[in-house]
Amino acid sequence: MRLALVPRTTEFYELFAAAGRVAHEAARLTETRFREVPEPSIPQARVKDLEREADEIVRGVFGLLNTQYVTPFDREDISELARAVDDVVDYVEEASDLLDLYKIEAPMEQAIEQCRILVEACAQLERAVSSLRNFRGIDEAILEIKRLEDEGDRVARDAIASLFEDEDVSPRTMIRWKDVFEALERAIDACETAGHTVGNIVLKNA
Amino acid sequence: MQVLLLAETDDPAAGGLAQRLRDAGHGVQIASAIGPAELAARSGRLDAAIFDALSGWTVGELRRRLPDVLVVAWLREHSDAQVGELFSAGADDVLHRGMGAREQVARVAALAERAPRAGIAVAFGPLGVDPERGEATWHGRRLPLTQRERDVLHALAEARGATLRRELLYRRVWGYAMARGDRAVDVNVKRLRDKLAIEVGAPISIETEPGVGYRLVVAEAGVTAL
Repeated sequence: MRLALVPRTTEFYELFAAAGRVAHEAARLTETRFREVPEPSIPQARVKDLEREADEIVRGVFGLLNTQYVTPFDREDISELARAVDDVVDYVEEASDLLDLYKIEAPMEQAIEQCRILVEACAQLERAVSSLRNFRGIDEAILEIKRLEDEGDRVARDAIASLFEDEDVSPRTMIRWKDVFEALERAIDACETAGHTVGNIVLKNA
Repeated sequence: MQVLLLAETDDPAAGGLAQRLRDAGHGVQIASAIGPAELAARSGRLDAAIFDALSGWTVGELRRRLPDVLVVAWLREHSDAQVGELFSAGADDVLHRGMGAREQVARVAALAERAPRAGIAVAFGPLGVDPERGEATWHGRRLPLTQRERDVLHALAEARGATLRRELLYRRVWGYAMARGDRAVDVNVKRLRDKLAIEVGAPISIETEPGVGYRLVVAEAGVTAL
């Protein structure tokens, strides 16, 4: 394979900015779906489309890695970050899909709170990956993602505990909502993983 | 109505109250422990629990252990402050020795109207809800409701204008305890409200008691909102 000597580093930055945008949009649509269940104005297909777009972006990043001699950061860091942001979108899509799969009849307040945290975390992630060119505001964004992940942990723990406070909660409710709470928690944790990868890039390149 | 009176079994005051209620046609058991009552509550064979406020039981504990059962506190001596606290804690009613015997029995009889009667058709003014036939009607005209909406309407109609706590409404419609944060009641009440506004309009409404639950108001039923 011939590697191009003319650097296309700008395209890496553009792809990561696009990845951040897609993750944030997927989280926003999912939050709306959770608020509006059982009749969300946004079909799951739109979230799925974003998940496919995220996959395309990852392919774009790996395509560049395979053809570019010069990269703005370590190749391993670039591929790790691309996968990490894609994971966020995958987990968001999975949580959103559970609303249809489990025929959720009404939201739970704790899940709506998790969605709020997820949207904020994705907003900060978008801010972070969009600032890879000059690192402006990146440290604050990474710290905020970590804070939101901690908050997400507390909300998830309380949410799951609430299912077990009364022995007579429907088993179906417990199964559904434990899965949903855990899926949203995975998505928030994935934001922190991606943020951590951004942090590593900053450490090596600042 | 099947009533559990939680008090010392050799307490003459408890015995007197129990006898008055039996004379009025209610089934009454006096017990100092709750054990078998929990099973009766879960299988729908217990309608109300009257507990001696000095017995150590609390409204919250009884609500948790006897789901879907009306909880009535019994005070040996009347105290405004205690009555207020018991209602704030969620008691369905408070009896005290300052009440005459007839008033005590009448209050329990009024509670019997609110005891759940799953599957029984209920009429509330021009509103009729018949679970067995799967229909809700207004002046005989069928209302296009889903089964869930009908079940919610049935539970509210049974309460005849009294506020039904969210948790109790959930229990009656879904048959299980409501998990904290579950908004199924709110979502279904909203949908029902919207449909009733279109199908019937002003004569019927569902009012919210913030932080507590909902009550059905039917203008032609002659029952005013509490």
